[in-house]
Order: sequence, then C-alpha cells, then structure tokens
Amino acid sequence: MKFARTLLIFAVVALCGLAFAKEDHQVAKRDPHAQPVKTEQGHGGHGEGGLGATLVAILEHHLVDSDHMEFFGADIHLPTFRFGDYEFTLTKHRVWWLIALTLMGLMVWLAARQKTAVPSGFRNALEGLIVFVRNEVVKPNLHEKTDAFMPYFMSLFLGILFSNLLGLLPWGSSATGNVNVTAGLALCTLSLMVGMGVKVNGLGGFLHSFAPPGVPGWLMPLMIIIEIVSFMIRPFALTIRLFANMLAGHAVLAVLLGLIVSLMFAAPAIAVAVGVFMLEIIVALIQSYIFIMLTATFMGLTMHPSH
Amino acid sequence: MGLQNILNIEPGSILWTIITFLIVVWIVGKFGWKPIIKGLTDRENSIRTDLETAKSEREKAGAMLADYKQAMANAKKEAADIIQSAQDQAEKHRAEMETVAKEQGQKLLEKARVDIERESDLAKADLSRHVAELTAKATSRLLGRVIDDKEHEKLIMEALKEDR
Repeated sequence: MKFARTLLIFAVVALCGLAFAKEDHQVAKRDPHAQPVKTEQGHGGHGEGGLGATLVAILEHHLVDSDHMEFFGADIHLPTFRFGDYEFTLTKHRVWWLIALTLMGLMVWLAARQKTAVPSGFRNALEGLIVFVRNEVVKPNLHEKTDAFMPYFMSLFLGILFSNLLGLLPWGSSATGNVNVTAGLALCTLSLMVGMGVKVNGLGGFLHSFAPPGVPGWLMPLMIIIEIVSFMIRPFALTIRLFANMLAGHAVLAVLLGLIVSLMFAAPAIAVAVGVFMLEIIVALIQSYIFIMLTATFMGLTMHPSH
Repeated sequence: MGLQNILNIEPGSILWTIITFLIVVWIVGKFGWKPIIKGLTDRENSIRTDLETAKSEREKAGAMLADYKQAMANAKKEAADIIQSAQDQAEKHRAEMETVAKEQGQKLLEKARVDIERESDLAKADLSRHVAELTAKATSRLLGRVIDDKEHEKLIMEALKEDR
C-alpha cells in the first residue's frame, strides 16, 4: 500500500514534468527569440546552438513576466486597461498572484464554513498550521500583539506558499519568482517594521534604536549609518531571497526538462527533474516559512529593540 | 522582455502586489481568519478551563478519598477494638463460668461423696444389723434358746471386734 502510494506520487510528479517539458518544447518551437539563433547556427531542430536557444526560450517563457498566458495549449493575450494617461496591463505574474490569493481565500472560506465545536479534516489541518505559526513564529517575536497580526501572517504564508507551488504546475507560473511581487511583500514588511516600531516605542524611541547604547561618541555617526543600512537591507534581503530561490528552482527544472531532446537525454533528465521537483515542493514550503519567520523577527526587533 | 530584464523594478507591479495582497488580507482576515482563530482560541481556553477544573476536582476527590480511607481505617480500628473487647469479655465470662461450674461440680461431687458415704454407712449399719439379726436367729437356733437383745448385741459386738 505504502509502495503503491509512493509510486502514484512519483508517477503524478513525472507526468507533471513531462507536460512541463512538452509545453517547453512547443514554446521553444514558436518563440520569436529562439528562431533567429537556430537559423544563425544553421541547424534544424536541436543542434548545439539550437539547444542553447531552446533553453533560453524556455527560461524566458517560464521566468519572465509577459502579457501572454498559456493555459492547456491556448495562448491567452492579457488585456490592458487605460485610465486617462495611465495604463495597466494584466501580466502573467499579476494573474498568477491573484490566482494564488484566490486559492488562499477559498481555502480559508472552506475552513471557516465548518461551525462544529470539534473541527475535522481540512479545518483541523489548517488549525494545526495556525497553531504552529502562532506558537513558533509570531508569538516569540510579537508577544502581546500576536493575535492582532495572525491574519496577516497566515495570509502572507499561504499566499506565498500557493504562489510558489503554482509555478510547479504545467502552464503554471510563480508570481514569487518575480522580483516586483517579492519587493511588494517586503515593502509591506518594511511598513509594518516602521509602523509598529513607532507605535510601540514612539517616534523618539524608534529613532533612538538606530543609536546603540555604549558606543563611543566619535563612532556614533558611523554606527547610525550602519544601523540604518542594516535596517533597510532587511526587506531587500527578503525580496531577493524569495525571488532568487523561486527563480533558481524553476530555472533548474526548466533547464533539466529542456534537455529532453532525445531518448538518451530523456531518462536521466526526467529522473533528475523529478528529484528537483520534489525538492522544489520543500523549497516552496521552506521559503514561505522563512519569509514569515523573518518578517516576524524584523517586526519584533523594531518593536522590542532592547531584545 | 528578456531574461536580462528579470531584475527590473516596476512600481506598477509592486503596487499591484501590495494593493491586492492588502485587500485580500483584509477580506480573508475579517471573514476567514478571525472566526477560525477565535474558534481555536475559545476552544483552547475551554480545554484549559476544563483541565484546570478537572485538576481541581481530582485534588478534591483525592482529599475526599484520603478522608474516606482515614474514616475507614478508624472504623476498622474501632470494630477491631469492639471485637477484642467482646472477645475479652467473653473469655472473662467463660473463665468465670468455668470457675463457677468447677466449684459447683466440686460441691456436687463433695455432696455426692458425703451422700454416698452416709448411704454407705447406713447400708453398712443396716447390713450389720441385718447380719446380727440373722446371726442371732441362727445362734438362737443353734443354742436352742432365745437370746435377748442385750445379750445378742453383746455377742455381735464381740464377734465384730474379733473380725477386725
């Protein structure tokens, strides 16, 4: 039974990988960036230059934001909205970010519908997650403010997690593999760091936290600069960490599956890709956890600078 | 847009992320997370209260059990004392009864012996008299004369003395 279950999981993951690879090669064939390289090299199909171009096309298709979305083979051109002089394009990553948030909302709505005194099934699992996030992540940093910020942290965790995982589906894409999305989330963290720092310690107290006690007067200007840089670099580190992890994971997967140009390459490429795919599931979870963990830690540091 | 633009910062995308995220956090927080977290917290508090109550009740029950055990031990001791006292009394009574019975037995025995002796003496006296009478009769027949009582008695007494 256990073996059959493992085999089933492996088969599903492998099928996802194959669908991913098939889609990549279809993309590579019609991608405008790939074609010139192929013709320049003078090789048809997957020659040495052709393979490189194919990989670049696959990476661009998967990792770069665009106003096109592919879904079950259909190429969807995303609309652009104009508001006077401003225009707003609904890009692929913006749509996948909305999908991730919608899925998160649906999950919470489904769990919240259960009104029984003793929870079961899905609600039970979600409550286990809430207890973990509250006791292990938020409470040690925010103390008495924990309950007020739990909805924010749970939404942040599940939003990032869904976004990370959606990139692993065929035709899917990780919005968190876009630096602008992670920057937006990190800016939310920065706002909370500053806002809660000022609210708890007052403006004077918050600014005073940039001048560490016990530092000689002549060293103080340098220390203040270092503290400010250290403070500002935290959201920057959050932005890059999540973005780079998602980008790298998907890039590795895309490259591995892009290598399936013949039967000789297919078997090892799929085997390694399945391994990386499973690793990516773990990375998706870990990165979501790290993001909320660091957000809570940074907020805790500004709220309680003496700690 | 190629791979070289992957690190490009687009304020529009950042704003889109922040606005959509905050709107979803507000909606999901109000209608989803808060009821779930409140339910969870209420249940935790209820379980904590129940556990504390159970602990307090258990302590009370423990104290009651100790009291009950003490009362049981006291009752057992009291019962044992009562039984011991009854046994002692019974033993004493039995000993008294035995003494009385022995005394009465002795008395009866003594009385019986006295009676037996008296009866024996009477029987002996009767026998002696009877024997004397018979002897006197026999002697009278042998001697051919009547011996009066005085003489008779004298002969008997002499004969008895010789027998002894």
